[in-house]
Amino acid sequence: MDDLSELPESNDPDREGIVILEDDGKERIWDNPANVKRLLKIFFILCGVFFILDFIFFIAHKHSVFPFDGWFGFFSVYGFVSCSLIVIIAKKLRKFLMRSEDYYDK
Amino acid sequence: MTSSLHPVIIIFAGALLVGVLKGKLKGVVSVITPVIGLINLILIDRSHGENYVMTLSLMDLQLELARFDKLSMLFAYLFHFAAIIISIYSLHVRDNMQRFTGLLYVGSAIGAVLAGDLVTLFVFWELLAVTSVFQIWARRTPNSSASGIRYLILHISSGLLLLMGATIIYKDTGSLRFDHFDLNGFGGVLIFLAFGIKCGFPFLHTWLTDSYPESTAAGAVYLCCFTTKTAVYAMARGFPGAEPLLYIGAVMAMFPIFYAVIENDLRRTLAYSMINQIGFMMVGIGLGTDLGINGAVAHAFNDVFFKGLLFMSMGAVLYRTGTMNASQLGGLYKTMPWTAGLSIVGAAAISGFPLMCAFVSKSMIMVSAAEEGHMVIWLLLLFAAAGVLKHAGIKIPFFAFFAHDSGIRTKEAPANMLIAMAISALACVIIGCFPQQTLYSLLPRDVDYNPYDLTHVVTQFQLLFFSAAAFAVLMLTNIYPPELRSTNIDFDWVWRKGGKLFYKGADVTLNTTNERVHRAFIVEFIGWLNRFTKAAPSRLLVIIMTPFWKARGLEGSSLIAKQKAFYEDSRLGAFPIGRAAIFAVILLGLLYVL
Repeated sequence: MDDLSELPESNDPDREGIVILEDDGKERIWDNPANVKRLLKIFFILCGVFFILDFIFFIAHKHSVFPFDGWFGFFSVYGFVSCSLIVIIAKKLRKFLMRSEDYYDK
Repeated sequence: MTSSLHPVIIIFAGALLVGVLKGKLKGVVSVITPVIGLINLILIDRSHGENYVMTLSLMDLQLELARFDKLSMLFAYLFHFAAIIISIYSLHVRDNMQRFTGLLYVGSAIGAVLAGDLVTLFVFWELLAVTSVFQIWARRTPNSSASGIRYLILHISSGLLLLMGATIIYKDTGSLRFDHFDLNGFGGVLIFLAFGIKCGFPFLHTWLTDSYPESTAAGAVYLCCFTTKTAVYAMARGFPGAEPLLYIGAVMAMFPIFYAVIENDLRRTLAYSMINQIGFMMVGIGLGTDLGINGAVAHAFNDVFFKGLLFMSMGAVLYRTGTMNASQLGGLYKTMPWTAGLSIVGAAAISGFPLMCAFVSKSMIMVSAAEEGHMVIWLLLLFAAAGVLKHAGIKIPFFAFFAHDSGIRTKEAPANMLIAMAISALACVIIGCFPQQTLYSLLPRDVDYNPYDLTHVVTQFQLLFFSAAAFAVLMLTNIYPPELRSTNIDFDWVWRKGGKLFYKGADVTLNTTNERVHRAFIVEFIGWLNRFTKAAPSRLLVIIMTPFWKARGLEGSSLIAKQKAFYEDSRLGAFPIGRAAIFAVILLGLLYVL
């Protein structure tokens, strides 16, 4: 984590709103790793539920425009694969695109 | 009650009042002005019905200062809503520069969408550029000043292209009406490009990602609500069904996603997300079907609320902590719980969760693309929709309010900011839950589309949950790239570094050429010419005289000495009187002969 104290001087009128307080020492909900685990568990269960929900389309009619979007689990797989691809490609792109923060000031 | 008052007059009058007033009154007037404007707009709508036009004759030009039909009315309403929300959001701002120009900016945007002819459009289009730049300059940092200049250069160019296009179209057709344009004519292409700059077409998008992060907390909200929406309106009016928009839109929906993932500045991430959303709108306009146009316009309408909400929540974070870097933020939910909650509503809305506004409008565009048989475009949009969840829906609230605890403890955002955000959040939910009763009545074409059927709701949940699952898995396995303080080079490299290179190149080549030419002509040639003109007559005289001296029997060194002495005498013009007299006689004789 970077330090906030290194903010440069400026006349930015929004600066008057800055408030930095001391930590009050209270434990908040996500400070407890057990809560995070519980949330993740609920989330992954919901994912499973929505995946299985595709079964209702064996009873109800599933609209599909193209041949492939009616396939079982198409949207689940497409969502997962797209999102993974986006992150992995973006990470690779950093090699070509990333410069230091003051690149344009030099 | 009826009204025939041009809506812009009210907003500009309010802006002038705000500029003059002091203290609390300033804030009150800036909120009341758009409210009065909204009432006036409703009265116009009620009393004149559709297709009402306010005209002005200027010499032999018939200008349509305001045209009220369904399309322009939707945007006029939208801009009034947005102005009310932002005025509340910026109530705490005491800076006169922002307050005064903010309302002028709103007025210009309303004027532009109501313009019925190209001259009126051009005037408001340029006003829009000039008044909006103060939202960037008001930050008063060196970066914001420079960024504002770059912003102005692109936006003024857009206005000039519009003027050129309008002139060509007037010459070709004799009409200045702002209506459907043909892309086959040169004038049409110029206007297309003019609108394209403000829409953030690929390669012309750099002003968006450059200026939004440099503007003030409230300024970014202003910028995200008006300029691009005006451009989307203009595109929907001028080029519905233009095929290039399909492909441009698809590119715009795709490429910013990757940048958004690795961008550290959260407001720049939102700016990339903005391009991505406009990409969806461009595809809708490019399709040109009733559903496509409706979807594009509806998405622009919703975007003001959900993207506005996200920018407002990030503005609140900036206002309280002074930074927008994801690498420096995190854990703010502890001290800014309301802002965090409202930001999550905005994030859910932009991602298109069912019961949220973008679910309705984005699916209109996608269904229309599918119905028209554009399979690849549809697949790309679906990919982009998954990406929206990732870079806007998860990244923005997660890295600002959760993630690793940065240790920053601050205060909740001011009450006026929270109220403004709450209004936007409410709008997102109400439009999402009751599209028929709210949004549909404003749409320009007839709507017969129900987003809430079983297949659509279930598949949308699948898409979103599994995209989120991918994020969770990548986070847990540490594959997800960490937020780093960095700059990612984008096409603005060409203007910013390329500009410097061009300057340097021009400096080197032109200045060297200049110096060489100076040396060759001014120093060397002139000097030689000078010496030549001085020495040539003397030398000529020596050559003429030499045979005489030889005849007198001078030879060898005495001849050379004679030549030298004579040369010196003639160069200095110091001849003895006798010799000068002989020359004079020769000259007179020559004159006589000739």
